[in-house]
Order: sequence, then structure tokens, then C-alpha cells
Amino acid sequence: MSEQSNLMPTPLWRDPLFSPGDRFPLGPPQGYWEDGGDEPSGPATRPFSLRGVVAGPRMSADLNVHYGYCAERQVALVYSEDGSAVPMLKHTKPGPTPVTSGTTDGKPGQAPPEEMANPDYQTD
Amino acid sequence: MTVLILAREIEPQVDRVVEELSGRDVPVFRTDLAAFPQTLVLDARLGPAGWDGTLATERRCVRLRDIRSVWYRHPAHFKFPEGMSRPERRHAAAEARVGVAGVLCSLDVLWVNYPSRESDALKPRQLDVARRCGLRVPQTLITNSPVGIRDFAAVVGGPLAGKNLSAASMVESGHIQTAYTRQLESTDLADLSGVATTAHLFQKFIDDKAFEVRVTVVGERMFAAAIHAKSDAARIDFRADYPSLDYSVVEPPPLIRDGMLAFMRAFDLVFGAFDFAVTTGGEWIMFECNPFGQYGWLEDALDLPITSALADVLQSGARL
Repeated sequence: MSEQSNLMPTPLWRDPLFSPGDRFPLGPPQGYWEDGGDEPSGPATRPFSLRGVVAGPRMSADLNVHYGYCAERQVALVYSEDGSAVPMLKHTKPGPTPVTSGTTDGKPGQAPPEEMANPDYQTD
Repeated sequence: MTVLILAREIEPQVDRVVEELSGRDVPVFRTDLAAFPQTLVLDARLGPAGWDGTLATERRCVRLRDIRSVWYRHPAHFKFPEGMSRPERRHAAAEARVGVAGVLCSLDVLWVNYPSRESDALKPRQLDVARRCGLRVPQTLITNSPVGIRDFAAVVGGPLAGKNLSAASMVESGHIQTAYTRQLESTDLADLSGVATTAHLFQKFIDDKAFEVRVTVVGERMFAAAIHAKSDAARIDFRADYPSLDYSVVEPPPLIRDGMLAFMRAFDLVFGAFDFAVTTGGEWIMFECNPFGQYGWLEDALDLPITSALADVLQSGARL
């Protein structure tokens, strides 16, 4: 057995508990958010790990309306009120970033990405 | 040779790398898998040298054999035509995942990171592998037993931290709710209701922490940023209060570097964002490694050339 295999003995792709979705993780579509209307259940059933959760911004259906994509340059755009578009990099450096970033650990001034908010999102 | 980037359209870190590669005249084919099947077309044929064919949008086409590397950064789920029934959609999604993922994952190229690495690198596995790689990790308990927590607290003999094993945020009551790391109070230990409802992670709280460090590893290169918290909330979890943070460049000790590289090799990671606490005695204690971690805000704060390093790796198709 190699040193490598001693450190990581069993890849999870061999584990039947892990579905193809786990092995090829995909997030929900751009702009997708669950409606978020659910309320906390109660002390008997609410996971302990959710004690002390901090409420962030209110979810809104129109969070993405000011963002677009330039297929030529392959970068995101931000639209101003007069309809002109600026590459997001020039718009956001070093300012806030949009709420739909596909990241996993948050960023200053940024709402968490959908996959954080919807870890069980699957359509298959 | 082309760099294939699988990511959402609105993803500033990806924009940086696209611009960097384009500035180097490196061909880039960026797409979100939400474009499949409606505007992204896969035409793959198995030949004597493996899968070949094309991946095409209205504007671009890349031959599979011309792909040098793939940056896999949480693309969105396939988006199917309106009008499909739920069974049809499930069937189509399963077929798409196996077909598209199966072909792309068959390409013998560098992946940053290979898609399954995220599920390989679950936090409990990370902690065990880190320990085997010579990195110190906090005393840790995973349980749904209130009795187990009280026993653990007695063994640790100091304060405990409660952390999430997976997602830190969710949407509830119309708001994003984030569960940051918490230092458990005596009242928590007196009332552990809710512990039995699922798995929970508890660790010895690092009460002699001087600062935290985020180390972004790209191939063999490391970019370490010390994170100095100036508020009580940020001292427990720096994500809780970004405005209170200051940053400085720091150099990981050689044994920590060796441990991180061994960890990267163990999980076959090309990119990883490690989080450490550094104690007042200078000891580095690893919390976790995020295979898809953020780096843009540290790159900006400290002028760290992480985008350039990522572009180097993707351009060369090697770990460097």
C-alpha cells in the first residue's frame, strides 16, 4: 500500500451511500432561492446547531435583475439604472459582490450562495 | 489548447481568471451547466483514443481533445425545457448528469478540483486525514447524544465550540440565516434539546487563539493571510464581522506547509483554502480545508497573486 493510500484509504466514489449527485455536485439555477417562508419548528425538533443563527438580508425575487453576462468576454456584467453595462470586476473591485456567487464560504458584503442555503437541492 | 471553466455566469472570482487567461491569449471556454441542454450542446463520440467531439454554445465550440484543464467551480444544475413533467425532468436530469459528467470526467486533463473531491473531503474525513498528515486539529466530537456532549466537555475541561458539519446558511422566515461558530455557554450544556435531532460537531474552543490564518493553496503554491479580529464575534468566527478584520501576510511554518501538501495529495486537490487558528504560543491548529473556498477578498486586501497562480495552473495543465 502506498503512502497516498494510507492517508486516504477509501475514496467515497466507492461508497454506495454517495449518489452521482454527490460525486458531481451541481448548484441550483442562477437566481434560484427557496421561498423561505418556513418558520422555526420549536425547541424539541429544531437542531441544536441552529441556536444563535444570525438573520441576514431578506430574500427577494428581484435580486438578479441588475446582473447580466457578456458571452463575448465571458464575464458577468452589472447594469446601471440608465441601462449601460459594466463588467462586474470593474464594478465590484473592491466593493460588494452579488448574491448569486457560487462560492462556499461567504464573502464580505455578500449573501451566502444558493448551495449553502439549499444544500439538499436536487432535481434528480 | 483550451481551458474549460464550468461555473455560474455571475461569479466574480471566475471573471478574474477569465480576464487573466484572455490577457495571456489562452483560449477559454466558460459555461454554466444550466445551459445544458438548451443552449449548450455536447456531441461526444468514443474513439480509439477515448472521448472526442465537441462542446458548443451559439458563440463558441471546443473540441474535447483540445481541453487542457478544467476549472470546476460549482456550476448550476441542468435546466430543462418548460413543460416537462416531474418524472420526465428527473429522468432527463439523471441522463444529463451521467452523460455530461461521465464524458467530461473521462477527459485525462487537470481538474481544479475534480468534482467528487468535495464529497471526498467531508469535514470528519478532513480532520482525520489532517491528523495523519501531521497537522494538529482540535479535540472533536460528532454526536447526537446529549450525554456524549457532557462527557466530552468533562474530558476537554474547557469551553466548547459548536460548529456546522455542512451548510452554514439557509433561508428561513424570508431571511438568510447563518449559523456561525458558537462558543457554548453553561446554559447550552444545561439544555441540550435539539442535539438528538441530527449529527452535531463540537470542538475544544481555542481560547488562546492569537489570530486565524486562511491559506489558499494553488498547486504547490501557498498564499497565507493572517486574519486579525477586533470584535468579540469575529474572534469566535471571523465571518461574523468582516468590517472588524485586519489582514497581513504570514508565512506558514515548514511542518505546516508539509502537512498541507500531504493533505492536498491525500485528497488529490489542486486548490484548497485552509483555515487555521494560531495560538499565542505559535501553534497552528487546522479547522478545515474548503476545496472551493473564496479568495478574492484576501487577494484584494493583500495583493496576493492568487488569480495569476490559478491561471498558471490552468494554462499549463499541471499542478506547478
